[in-house]
Amino acid sequence: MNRKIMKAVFYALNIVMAVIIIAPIVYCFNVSMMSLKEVFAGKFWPGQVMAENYVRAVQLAPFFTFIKNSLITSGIITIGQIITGALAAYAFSMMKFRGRNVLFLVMLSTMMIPSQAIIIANYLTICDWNLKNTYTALVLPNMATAFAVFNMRQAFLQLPMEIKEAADIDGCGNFRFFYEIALPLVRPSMGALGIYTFLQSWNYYLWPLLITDTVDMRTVQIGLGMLQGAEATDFRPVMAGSMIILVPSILAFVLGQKQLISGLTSGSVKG
Amino acid sequence: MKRRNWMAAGLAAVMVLSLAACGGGNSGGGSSSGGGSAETTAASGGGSAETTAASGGASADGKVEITFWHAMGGVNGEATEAVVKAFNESQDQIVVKSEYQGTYDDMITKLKATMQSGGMPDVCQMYDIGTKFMTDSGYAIPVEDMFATTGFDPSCVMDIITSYYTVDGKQMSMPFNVSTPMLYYNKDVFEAAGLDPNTPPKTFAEVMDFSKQIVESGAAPVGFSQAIYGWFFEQQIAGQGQYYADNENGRKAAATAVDFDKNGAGLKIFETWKNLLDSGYAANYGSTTADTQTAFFAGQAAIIVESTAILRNAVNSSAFEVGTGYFPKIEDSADGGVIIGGASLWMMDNKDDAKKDAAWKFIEFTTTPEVQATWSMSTGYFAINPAAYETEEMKAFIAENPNFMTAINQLNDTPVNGYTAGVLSGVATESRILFNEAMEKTYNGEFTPQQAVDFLAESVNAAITNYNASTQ
Repeated sequence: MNRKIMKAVFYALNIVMAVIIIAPIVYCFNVSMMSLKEVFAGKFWPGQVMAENYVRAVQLAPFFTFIKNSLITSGIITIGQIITGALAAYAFSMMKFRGRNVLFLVMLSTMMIPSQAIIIANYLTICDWNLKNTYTALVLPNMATAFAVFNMRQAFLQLPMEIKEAADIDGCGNFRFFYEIALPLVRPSMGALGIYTFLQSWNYYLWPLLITDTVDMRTVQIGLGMLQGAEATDFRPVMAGSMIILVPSILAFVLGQKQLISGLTSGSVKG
Repeated sequence: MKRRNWMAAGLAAVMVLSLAACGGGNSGGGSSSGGGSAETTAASGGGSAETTAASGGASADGKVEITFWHAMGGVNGEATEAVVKAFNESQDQIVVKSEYQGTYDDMITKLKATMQSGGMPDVCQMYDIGTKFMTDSGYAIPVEDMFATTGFDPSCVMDIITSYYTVDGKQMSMPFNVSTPMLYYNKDVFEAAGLDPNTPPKTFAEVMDFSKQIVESGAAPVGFSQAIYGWFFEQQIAGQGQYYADNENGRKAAATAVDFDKNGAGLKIFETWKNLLDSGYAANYGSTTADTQTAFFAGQAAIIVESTAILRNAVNSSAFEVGTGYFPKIEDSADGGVIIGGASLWMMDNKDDAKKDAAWKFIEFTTTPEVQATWSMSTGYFAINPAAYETEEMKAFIAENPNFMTAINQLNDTPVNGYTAGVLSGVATESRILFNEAMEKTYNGEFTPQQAVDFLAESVNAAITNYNASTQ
């Protein structure tokens, strides 16, 4: 009986939280359907369904190009960070070498440097390499991060050392062990890292703005900027634009979450 | 088996690379400030040389291609692209490539980076408060240098507009999007409150009286509101016919200290605004201008001050009839008036004469009456060339939008002098942030108006001293 009440309370709390989280997105959608006067009339629901603001948003900023660019860069960054993160983390957790801990700490300390502090230095380097306005420039500085390594290292540390020892005794080398045994076991962590990295790179603004010049190389967040005026902004196309670029990030989350759950079940190990 | 070997080798390669990258990144991270800046200095020379070489003036088909950076989004962005398109179609010698570079602040960040690395645009839009930075950077070619050789008549642009962009007697850049603040009011509320809907308040004493009548009659919950915005503070100092900073607002020589604490203008402003808020007939919606606009469009606040550039948005967004009036004054002064704001077009020195000439031709094109008329009608900014108001389209437009006349009249009524030229400061952005802090603390009672003025003067003076030391 008590358990049932607890369950009901939890469900109620969950629903309240869900409403709080979803409400702004619903409002965002509603505003994208409103006429200008409706927006300021204090209404929550639009009086009609119309595509006008979406058409306007796409007129003001070529969102489909931006989505393509963002998908390419976020996809590469996500895969890149998982690969570099997993490989480096494997070394930091499963292999023993001199200076391992110092190297790891030094790497962690880079997380303390705000990205804005090095963005100009990165910009100058990329310009020096003549990579401005290319996909390479968009992804290169983000291919490896300390956070990814840290995250994956925690996952590898969860694995019982006995598996590794058994593999060593059976003559299974590091790469085979990494690829065939360790990696499948940390799939949920890879999924979580993937979602996080994808969403984060989807939201990059300053770096793509600095390093690209032409409209055909720009990414989604710059598109939202293009809808806003210096003195006054019509928020309806901004909301429509937000809805458009929200779709791929929701998809990424759904796909990643599936990975996360299937990873959890397939990762079960026998004692 | 073979395939697996290949895979392992691949993974090994990636791992080595990534470790190397991590290691490199780390040690770089630790010492990047030294290495980075050394590289920067080295790159700045090479970078600009490279730019010149790469640009090489004319392209294969004999056309000169120049790059134009702007920070115009939304409707204004569309209008900017239209100007560029019109220019490109008007002749066949020059191709202007326009590039949107984010907000003004984003753009100035990027411009600073390109000053080091090369790749500066040939024409760059820059906001009003970036004027001092651009002048001091040494990378800008004053537009006035082009007047004599090209026979450009500078009198075709209103003096009150060029005065802001004139440093040491020389016009540095060409105004592009120009606005001033003005007063917006809700005519329906005025009527409901028993006020004359065609008589807006002219002074803050009247703003107070009108607000009282509006709130007490229940016509609207809030009488007056304005965003916490340093621009309005600067405007009110000019409105009183006073200087913001010494050396005649930093225009005779670089400003060394603020003046508003000594001439009393600052104290009057803080006192007036604090009294107004404390009366309960005004409200404070914070430092985001869009929030105050929203309160007005939604009919909550009956009177606001805002940029003239939002007029069209205000009329289209509001369910009531929008009235406009002159920017209300704290104290009447014959010398006082509004300062223009917005942004101007700068010619950047890429050491290429063909590009320089092309950049000027484009800028010159933007000043023509037809371009200015179209620009003004589609954005709500002023036409910098008064001849634009004589075009048929513009006459029809003003007839349909009488509120636009308020803005034009206000600008025409403003005396051209050192006060209304506005302050020329290298620390304007910082000063505005400091003003926000002073104003917020005054509103919530942490500072008395006198303390606020002292705090603001002291902090801005420190910033100015710092800036002057860094530019010498």
